[in-house]
Amino acid sequence: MSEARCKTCGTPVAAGSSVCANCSSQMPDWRRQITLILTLLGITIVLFAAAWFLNHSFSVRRDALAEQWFNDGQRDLANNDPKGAVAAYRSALFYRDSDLYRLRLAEALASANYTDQAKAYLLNLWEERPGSGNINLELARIAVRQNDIPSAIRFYHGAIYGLWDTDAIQHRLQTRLELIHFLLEHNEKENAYAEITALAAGAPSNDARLQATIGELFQQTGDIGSALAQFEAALKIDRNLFPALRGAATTSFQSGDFYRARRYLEQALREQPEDPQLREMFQQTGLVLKSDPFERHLPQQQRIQRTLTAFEQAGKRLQQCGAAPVTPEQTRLTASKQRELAGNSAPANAPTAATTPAANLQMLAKSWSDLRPNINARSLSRNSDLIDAAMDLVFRIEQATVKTCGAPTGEDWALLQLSNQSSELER
Amino acid sequence: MADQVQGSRVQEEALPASLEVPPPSPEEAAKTGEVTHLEERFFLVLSIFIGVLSGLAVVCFRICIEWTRILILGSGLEVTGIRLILAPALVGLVIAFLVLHVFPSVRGSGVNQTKAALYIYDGYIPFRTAVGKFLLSALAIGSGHSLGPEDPSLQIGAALASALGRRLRLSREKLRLVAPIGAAAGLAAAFNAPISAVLFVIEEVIGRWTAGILGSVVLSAVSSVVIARWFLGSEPMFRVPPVSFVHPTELLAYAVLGVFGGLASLVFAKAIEIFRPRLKDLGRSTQYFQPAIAGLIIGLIGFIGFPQVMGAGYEYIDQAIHNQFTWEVLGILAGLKILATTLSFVSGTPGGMFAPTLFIGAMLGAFVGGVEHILVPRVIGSTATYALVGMGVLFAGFLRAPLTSVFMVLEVSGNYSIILPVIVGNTIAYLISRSFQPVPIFDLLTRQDGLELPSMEEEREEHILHVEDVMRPYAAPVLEFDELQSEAAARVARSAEPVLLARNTEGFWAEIGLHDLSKSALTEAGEPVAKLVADKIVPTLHPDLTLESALRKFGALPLLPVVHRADPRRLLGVVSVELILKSYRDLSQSAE
Repeated sequence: MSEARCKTCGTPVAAGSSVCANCSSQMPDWRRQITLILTLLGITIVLFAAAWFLNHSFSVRRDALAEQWFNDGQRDLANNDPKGAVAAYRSALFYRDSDLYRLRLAEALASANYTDQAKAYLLNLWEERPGSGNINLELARIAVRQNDIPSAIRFYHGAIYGLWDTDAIQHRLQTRLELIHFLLEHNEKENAYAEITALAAGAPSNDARLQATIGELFQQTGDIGSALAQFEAALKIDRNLFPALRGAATTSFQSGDFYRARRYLEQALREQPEDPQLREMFQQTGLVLKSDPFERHLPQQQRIQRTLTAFEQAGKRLQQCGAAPVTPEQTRLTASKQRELAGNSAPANAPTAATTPAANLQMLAKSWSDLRPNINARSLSRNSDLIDAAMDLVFRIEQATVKTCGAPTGEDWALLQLSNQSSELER
Repeated sequence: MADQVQGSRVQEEALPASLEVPPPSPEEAAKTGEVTHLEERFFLVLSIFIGVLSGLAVVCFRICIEWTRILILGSGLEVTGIRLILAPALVGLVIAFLVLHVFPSVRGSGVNQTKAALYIYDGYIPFRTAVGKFLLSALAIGSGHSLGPEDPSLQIGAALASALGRRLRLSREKLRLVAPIGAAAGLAAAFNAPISAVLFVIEEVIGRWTAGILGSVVLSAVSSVVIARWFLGSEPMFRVPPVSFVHPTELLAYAVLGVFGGLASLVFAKAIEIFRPRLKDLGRSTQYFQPAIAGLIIGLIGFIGFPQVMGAGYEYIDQAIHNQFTWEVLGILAGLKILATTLSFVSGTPGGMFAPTLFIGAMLGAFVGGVEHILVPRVIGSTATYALVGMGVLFAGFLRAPLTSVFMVLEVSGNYSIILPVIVGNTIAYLISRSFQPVPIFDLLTRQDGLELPSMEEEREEHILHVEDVMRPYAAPVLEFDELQSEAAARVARSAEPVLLARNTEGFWAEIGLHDLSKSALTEAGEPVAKLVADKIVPTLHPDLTLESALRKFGALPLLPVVHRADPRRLLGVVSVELILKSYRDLSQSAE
């Protein structure tokens, strides 16, 4: 029978023994190996359980610390201590790696004016999750701080079309609003208009306040018609919503629709009687409407009276502007004198005396003087065309005097508004 | 003693075990082979257990470090106040006492102790070392000493494996191997990077690639990483943003980083080289205070506004990668970390140098990147790229593990696009460090400790002799197997070679003495040479074979033929054992 030998020293090992007496190394056999493996497995399981317990305890502690430091950071940020918040958020992140914590840290860094650090932090986050609405929004805000308009627009768009964990619609609306305000501040009206249009299209139809806000934004871009439509849409939902009433009144006033403006102003003043701007607008609206001889259902007597008053007021305006009634001969002489002064070098299309504002005023003064004898209550009552002719002249005078004498006040202003309205209607 | 042990090891490698004992019978051989096979399989299974246990130990170690930090320095990342100054100093006193009285073998990083276990102490590392390393390193790192947990993890893994090996009464050969297997497991779990850990252990501890060791090392490293990830999460050590290599001209910028990294490595290594022996020579009584003084200075550095240098500093590496520091601060942090780590390490505080090396590298890389960004804004990549390359550069320059340094960066970043900058930077740093600091840091430490361990760098670079370096021409006609013995004897009658070579048509070679041929030719003149040499077939050598491999083939043969690899019948020369020994003697004389 052959005997086993120790692999280490070569010495024969006694039968039935797996231990080498010479060097004490052990000859493994499969029974012993299985026993050893089972023993090791048992030890491993026990140690695994111990490690699990330790790790679990520490994880609980870590989570608690993360929460504690995160709350400290929130508190510091609320108390306007961004540097404290940065330290707290960093500690929170040390205990738990969370996107929310990282985002807050970036916000705190930005608030503490560590803009570059905040940007670097956010860009890293953005590279990991380029579709995140939150991260894009924060990056957009940093771009706004750095006055980097293209990046701001890019990141705002990233936020608008990005993913939000909760309440995505609301976040997208708010982000678009923020973008619109940013664009308007930077006089990017065309871009802003496109965004407002998109906002109007996507806004919930039952949100009166949002409709009113959109109306205000349209108003800022100069689209009075769309603004008025938004305000009226808001009022359909909530007829007493003051921002919508004020907006509707203002836009009606701006568009020269003084009858509509008066209606909205009355409602708005019922809500906010002491609003000085509305009160002034209301007075001006009253003045305009009081001066309008073309008001529907106006008795003929009042129509004639208003025409006479307007005609007299226009004459006064002409006098204030230094224009006296002139003869046609005087006009011709003035024109030829100016041509002589200009010499042959004057281009063919050079303005003649008749087309200069001063000469125009003279012409209007003459027209006024010519028409003056016919403008009285009797003539106007006999010939209603005279009312049109008189008011046409009044409107022309008010338009012309604005160019030479500046913006009018009082009744002249009211006549000018009526003139604008008339031009608008003609167009 | 070390020489003796080494000598016996070389002897064991050179001479197979079968030569030491009488050849076993076929039955015995079969049984022994079965036993060997069983043992090999068991060893592989054991490697997995070593990995799992080391992984569990490292998980507990990491948790203990963090818990200690919270208890000693508070839960906030930014520590302030008097605690910052006093905590590392007071803990330093406790550590010094425990090191001097309870755990004397836990000083330093642990890499050399593991190497010593492999090469000197037959794989023996006391279990007490694992306990001491665990407790004292956790205390030191947790209290803010500028040291890292990786090297202690390596030693804890090695010590656990060694204890397990002894408990299982493994053979001496296997017992030697379990320590590096445990070391790889410990390092892999600490780094969460199995490839780097395997490479480091092979490159710096074992120093040779053999399939048997590699399989066990890989198994243990992988199983420990699985355990570490199970508990600590599978996230990489650093949250590395997408990094990129923008333009080939940027390689110049990384070359500059390599130069800075090489110089920084040099400063770091020189500081340790100079101060470590001096502090050791100050006397035992001062060793009670050295860690405390080091801790006090580190605390002061933290107190004046740079607490980032305290502890392992991974969170700050992460911040540097994410561009959270200005370039001025990065430069200062790199410099202060060199100072703090030198102080901690030379004072004998237990703890590792891996993490500080990565910290210094990351700060230096980001600093160089920041400065280059100011100077050449158009071609410079992200800070993260520079920080990562910087880590590799310091690893290559200071720890002198070039292969590990490259893979470590790739594994940590998960991005292979930066491999070119890493290779360029690491190579330059390595060359600079090697030129001005001929002895690598680990070899330096072992020599300062009075040990003589094989230098892996020297082994990698030593001149390996091949058969072609020693073979000589064969000075006799080559006999053919089918040639008549009388003719053959006549052809070689005046040969100067005492041993004759014969070959057959298939390229087999045989040896026969001149005297034997002459004698046989007298009686069997009409017989072919083949009949005479049928049982004298010899192994052949090739010119590119190393002498170590060639020696294994000699047995008791006087010389061996060196044949062409493509044409085994073509004789290129012959080699004898005497020639091999002479060439080794010549080599050692020329080295002297």
